[in-house]
Order: sequence, then C-alpha cells, then structure tokens
Amino acid sequence: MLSIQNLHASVGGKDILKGISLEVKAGEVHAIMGPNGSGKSTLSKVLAGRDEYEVTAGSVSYLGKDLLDLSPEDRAREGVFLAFQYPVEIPGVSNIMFLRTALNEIRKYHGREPVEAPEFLKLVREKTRILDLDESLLKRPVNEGFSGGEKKRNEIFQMAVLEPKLAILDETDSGLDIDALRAVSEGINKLKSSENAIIMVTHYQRLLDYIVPDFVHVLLNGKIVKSGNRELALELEEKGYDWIREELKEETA
Amino acid sequence: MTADFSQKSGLVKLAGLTGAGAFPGISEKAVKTLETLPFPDRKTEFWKYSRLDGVKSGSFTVAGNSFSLTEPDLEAVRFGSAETDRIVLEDGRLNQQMTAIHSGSPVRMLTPDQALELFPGLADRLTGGTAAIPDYFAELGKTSFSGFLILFLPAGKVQKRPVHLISYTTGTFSQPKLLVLSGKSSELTLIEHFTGKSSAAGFTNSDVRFLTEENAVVHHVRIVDEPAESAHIGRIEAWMQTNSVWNSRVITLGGKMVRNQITARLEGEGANCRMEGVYLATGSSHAENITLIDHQKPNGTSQETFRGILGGEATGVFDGKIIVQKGAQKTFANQSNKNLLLSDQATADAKPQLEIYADDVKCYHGATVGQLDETQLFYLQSRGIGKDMARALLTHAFALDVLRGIPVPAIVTWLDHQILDRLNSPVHFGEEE
Ligand SMILES: Nc1ncnc2c1ncn2[C@@H]1O[C@H](COP(=O)(O)OP(=O)(O)O)[C@@H](O)[C@H]1O
Ligand SMILES: [Mg+2]
Repeated sequence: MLSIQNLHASVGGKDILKGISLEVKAGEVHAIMGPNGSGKSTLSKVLAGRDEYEVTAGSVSYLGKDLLDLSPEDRAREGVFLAFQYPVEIPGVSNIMFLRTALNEIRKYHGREPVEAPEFLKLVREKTRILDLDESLLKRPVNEGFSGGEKKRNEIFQMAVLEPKLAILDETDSGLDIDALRAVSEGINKLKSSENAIIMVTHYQRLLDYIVPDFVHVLLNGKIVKSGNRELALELEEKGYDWIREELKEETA
Repeated sequence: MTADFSQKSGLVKLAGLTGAGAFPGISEKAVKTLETLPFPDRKTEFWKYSRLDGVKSGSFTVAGNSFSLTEPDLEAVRFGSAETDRIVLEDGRLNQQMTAIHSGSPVRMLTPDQALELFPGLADRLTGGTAAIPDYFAELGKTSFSGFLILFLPAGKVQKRPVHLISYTTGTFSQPKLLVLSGKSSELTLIEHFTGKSSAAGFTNSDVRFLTEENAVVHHVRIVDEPAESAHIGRIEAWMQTNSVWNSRVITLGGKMVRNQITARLEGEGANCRMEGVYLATGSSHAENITLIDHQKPNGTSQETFRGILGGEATGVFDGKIIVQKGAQKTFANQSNKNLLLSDQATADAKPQLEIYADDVKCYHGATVGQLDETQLFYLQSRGIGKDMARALLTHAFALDVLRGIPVPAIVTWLDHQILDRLNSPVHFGEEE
C-alpha cells in the first residue's frame, strides 16, 4: 500500500528526515516510536503533504501512485488521513459543517453524490457514540476551546467518519486518560480491516496494549534504526532508547 | 443640473436650494461655512487616507423631480423570504411608489415640524457637527437641497418587521438623509441598503442620525453595496439616552471609495452600544471606517468589532476612537479590529485610539493584520477540502464573527453569500442544524 524509499526532508535548510524507508501493506499496523525531536511528526506531515517541509530526496508510492506528486487534499481524497499531534483550532467553522464539507469533497472526487442531511446525521451520531464524544462538540467551532483529550477524540471521530485507507496517528494517545484511551482505541480498532493500514506514532507502549502492532520501528535522528515486533516496544518501554544508541555506535565503530 | 466639485460657486448655489424634508435655519449657516472650506486633500488630516480624486474631478448630475426605478431594479436586494417594510430613496429622494409600509406597522414618517414638536432639542443637534473642526462633506450634507426622511417609532412600540430602507443611486450626486427617532422602550430593526445601477459612477454623501430615548432598542444594519465605480461617504451618529441599546453593523461590500463615519454618543447612563462592521474591498477599491464611541455617563458599555477583508490592490482603513469622559465611571469598552489580506498588494491600516478621563473603567483594544493561517489551511486540506474552498471557508468564518450577530437570519445568509460570491468562492456554506 505504502512504500517509502530513502526519504529525505528538510525545513529551512535543516535536514530532519535523513533517509527513511518503510513498507506498509494493507491490513498491517505499524508503530513508530522514538524520542522527542527525532522526526516522527515531520514524517507524518510530509506524508500528508505539508509543503513547509521540502522533500530533498527519495520517493513515496501509495496504492501505485506517486504520493509526493499529489496535493494534500488529493491525498486525503485518496484515503490518507493524518490525526494531528496538535489538532488545529478553526474559529467560526462548526465541527459538523467542516466534516460534512470534507466528506462531500471526498465523495465528489470519487464521482459520488453529496451525502443527504439525515444520512449524514445518522452516521455522525453512530460515530460519536463509539468515541463517547459529547454531541455538543459537533456544533462548536472546530477544536476551539476543546480540552486536549477532546481534540484527540475529535481527530479519531473525523477519521471514523471519513474512513481512510491509510491512517497516520501522530501521538493520538498522549494526553488521554484511561477512559479516553479506551474510546479512542475502539475507534481505531473499528477502522482496522484487511484493506486498511495504520501507522501509529507513539511515545508509550500504552496504546499498543489496545491496538496490537504487527511491526514496531524506532526512529532516531531522522532515520529508522531498528525494526521489530511488539516485543521491541516493551523493551523500549523498559530500557529507553540509550541501548539502541549504544548498539548503533558499536555497529559504526 | 450638475454638481461640479472642481467649481465651488456652482456647488454652493446648488446647496442653497431647498428640498423636501429640510429643517429650517440649518442650511444657510452650512452654505456660509462651506464657502470658506477648501476641498479636502491628502494634507487634510481627517481625509488623508481617503481617495477623493474621483469626486474632485467628477461632474455629477443631480436628480430632478422624476423617478425611474421599477420593481426588477430591486430584485437583487431582496433577502430571501424575509418580510420587510420597504422604503425606497432614489437618488436621495423618497420614491413613494416603491415604498410599502404595512398598515399594521407602528413606524411613522414625520415632517420636520412634527419632529421638532416631539423632540424640541433636535434643531440644535442637527446644526452641530460630528466633528469639532468643520468638515467639507459634513457641511455639504447639512445644506438643504436634500432633506431628511424622518422615521418615528412611538414609545413602547415594537416594529416586528424589519424596515428595509433602500437607497438607490442611478449615478448622480445625492445626499440621502435619514433621522430615526425611537421613543422610550420601543424596539426597531432597520436595514439600510445603499446600492444602485451597476454601471453608475455616482457620489453619495449621506447622513443618518439616531435618537434613542430611554430604554429604546435599535438594531441597525447598513449594507454599503454601491456600484463598483461609485463613491460613498456616510456619516452615522447615534444619540443614546439612558439604558438605550444601539446595535449597529455596517457591512461594506462595494464601491470605489467607501468611507463610513460612525459615531455613538452614550449621553445617558447605562447605555449599551454594539458597533460592528465588515469591510470587503477588492480590485483597486478603498474602504474606510472612522468610528467614535463617546462615553459620557457612568455604567455604559460598548463592544466594537470590525473585520476587514482585503483582496487585489484594495486598501482598508480602520480608525477607531473611544473616549471615556470624566464622569463616565464603570464604563466597559472593548474594541477589536482584524484584517485579512487576501493578496500581497492589499493593505490595511489600523489606528485605534483610546482617550480615557475616568479612573474606574475597563477598556480594551486590539488590532491585527494578517493573512489566512497556513496551519489552518493545511488542516482543512488534509481532510480533503480543496485549497480554494479552504480559503473561502476561513474567510467566511472571519466575516461570520460579525455577521452572525445580525438578528435577521435571512440577512445573515444573504450577506454571507454576497461576500463569498465577491471573493469568487466555489461554494456557499450553510449553517448546520
Ligand atoms: N517547521 C519547523 N521548523 C523548524 N524546525 C522544525 C520544524 N518542524 C520540525 N522541526 C524540527 O525537526 C525536528 C523533528 O521534529 P518533529 O518531527 O516534530 O519530532 P517528533 O515528532 O519526533 O518529536 C526537531 O528538531 C524540530 O525542532
Ligand atoms: Mg511529534
């Protein structure tokens, strides 16, 4: 589904991604872990098409298309979804109107009719229940005045409505209490299928108790330096990242 | 007849003529003052941003006694299904034929004599100016070749249907003038709508005054949608008595040069003023708002919000002064001006001024000039919303801040659509239930 080859990206002349390669197949769940500042959010945003990051080398192919060639909106319409680490507040635009506009734009791209109001409302109600999201948040401006946890839930709520093929979740678990974590995990698990793939960026292996990854990758200083399975996440939780840094030194020595 | 602004003598002669609805004794003085005043230019402090070249070099016809408007001309200024009482001024003159006030409506039209009888202080108020220094266009406005249309809402009456006052220019020089007298505890919704023939290159120099007696409530909306080549100077002043409410929204949509001078004088204790506006200018047009909120008595509140949306090579100006007089303790005043630049060539000037002479007050102000937020744009795009639509959505939200306070939903929708259309937005956004 997604094939990242030797991806380099920089911002303001500073190299942040320094040769990332990653293969994600349909049905898989990948976890990306790594210390602060290692480039996890940058990778997520580059995949979603944020143009402040310049891709200086490498390629990304997604469902046979050159992903880097698509506008951010076309990536979304092709099924890429980024749950932001820091969801953006949009005063004056109601959550529900925003989501309906988004859904209809995606449908239009695929030659489908806009969703009728009753059908949309039904869909939205169902998803708010799964995420245990207060319905009053729907009428409020997008993310404005939402608590940290509400913002994260709102991201997953949007994902649930838009039903992407490739979901990139950037630290969706941070700042969530245990109930919220459970609700969010349920939302994510509902999306999981043999046709979809999920990339989860996380600091903690907490989320991985709920959504079991097939692969775990360690991102360090703009590179994936180690890949493994679920056990690797547990090891990282226990021992931190220093032992990996040590390993790397030994290899290069 | 013509008005030629490059030739003072002809203009003065014109100003000396007396039309219907003129108050006696005001014009003579104004004509004299006008003779001594030069045409303002960039060196005139009060006019330094305005682009008056088109007016100065222009020669405008002045409407005679005939009327030409027909129903189709007004088709474009209907607000969906909203029922209104309609008053039409054509080139500043009341067009009786096009005017339709419901028989059950409490609002009445008065002659100057009737108005003076009910409100004896009126003559003095009308002689006085909105500015301490005599101003060319204010004096011109006082001359009586065009008189006031006088609306009166008796004490305790509620005008449920909004009054829709259409001021239509066919491309002349005109001075539409309106006096709104709100009796005690009355409530009025008034929508003033300046518009005209799309090909018109006219000049409107307008005056509107509000007198709100104790506990009166006025919802005022002004839509300035002059033809693209027309110039518009509009002075609005509200004299607010004890505990009265004046909510004003001035929405500038069109005109080559639009200058709104809006003044609220909180003359009675506990008066409550909301002064808001959106100014949209594109192409090479100029939109300017010069506001003054004068807190004279204790316990008054004012909320001032202006939003500028500027595209093309347009220029926008906001000059907002708040005065809190010595006795006006416990005043609350809040002013906000935000400008959205949609192109690199558009400019916005913001000039907030606070003059506070009382010590127990709360006053705030803030002004910003900026572009659409890239982070917000990306967020919308990342959900599948195309760039043009994302821009429109954010611009819409920016204006809606002010629009949604207008108490007639059909007008909010109408204005919202107008703004998006003029920005060539690919869509309209409805408010969801
Ligand atoms: N827009 C930006 N401008 C400058 N530096 C940036 C920008 N975005 C990210 N960086 C830098 O790139 C590095 C990686 O950041 P990020 O991708 O957010 O890391 P992570 O998500 O792994 O914590 C950090 O050093 C960060 O300061
Ligand atoms: Mg991050």
